[in-house]
Amino acid sequence: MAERIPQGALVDIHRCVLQTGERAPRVPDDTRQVPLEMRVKGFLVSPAAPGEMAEIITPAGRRLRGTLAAVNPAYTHGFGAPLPELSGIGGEVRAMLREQGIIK
Amino acid sequence: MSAGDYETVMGQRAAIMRDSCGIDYAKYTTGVLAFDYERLFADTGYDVVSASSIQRRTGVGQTPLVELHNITALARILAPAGKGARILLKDEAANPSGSFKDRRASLSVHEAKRRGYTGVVAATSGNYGAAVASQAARAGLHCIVVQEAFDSAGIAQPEIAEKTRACEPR
Repeated sequence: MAERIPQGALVDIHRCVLQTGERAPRVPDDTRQVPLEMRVKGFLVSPAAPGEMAEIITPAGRRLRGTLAAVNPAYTHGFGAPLPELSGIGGEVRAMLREQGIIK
Repeated sequence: MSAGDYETVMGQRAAIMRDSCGIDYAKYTTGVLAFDYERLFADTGYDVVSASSIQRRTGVGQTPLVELHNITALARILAPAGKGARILLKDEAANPSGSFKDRRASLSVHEAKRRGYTGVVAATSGNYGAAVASQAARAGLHCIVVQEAFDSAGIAQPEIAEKTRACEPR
C-alpha cells in the first residue's frame, strides 16, 4: 500500500481541465490533440496517498481537488552545459576593443 | 455542455471585464489593430503623472539608465561608416520582481485595492505573474497566478520554470 502523506504537507495536485474534444477552437491542431491539464500546489487538507484524489488548500485560501501527483516537488530546471559556439565570443570582442585602444 | 466549458466561460469574458473593472474594451477598439489608449486613460482617471506616482509609491520604475560604452564601441567598429548609435540600457530588471511588467502590475493592483477587491488573478507566461504576485503581496491582497508552464510530457522551458518558481508563495 502506498505511503499516506500527512495532512498539511505541501503537494502538487493534477487535474484535467479540458478533454481533447473540448479545447479552444483557436489552439493549434497538435495542441487540440492533448487535454488541458492543471497542476496546483497547496497544503493537504487530509492524509492521502500519491495517485489518489486529494484536497488541498492553496496559500490564497482556495480549496481544490485533484490527483495527488507529487509531494514537495523539487525544482529541477537548469541551464544545461555552456555552448562551445559562444565561449570564444568574449575573447573575440575584447581583441577588437584592444585593437581600437578602447581597452588595454 | 457544462457551465465550465470553453465557449460558455469565454462568452462571459466581456461581461466579467465590465463588472470587475467597469471597462468596456470594445468601446476603445477603433480598427483591426488600432486601440484608443488616450480615451481609455481619460475615462479611467489615470494619466501619465498619476500612473508614475503610483509606480513610485510601490517601488516600481525609476530604474537606472546605463550607458554601454563597450557595446557602443563594438557597434561602431562593426557598423558601416557613419552608423553606430550610442547605446543605452534601461535596466528594467531593477524593478521589484525583475521585469518591466511591474509597471502595469502596480497600476492593476492599485485599482483592485481601490475597488475593494480581496485579491487579483493573472494569466501569464511568467514575468507578469511574478509582477502581480509581488505587487499583491505588497498591497496585502490574495493572488492567483495561472501560468502555461508545462507541455504534455511535464517538461517546462527553464526560463518559464524559473518564473513558475518566482510566482509561488513562500
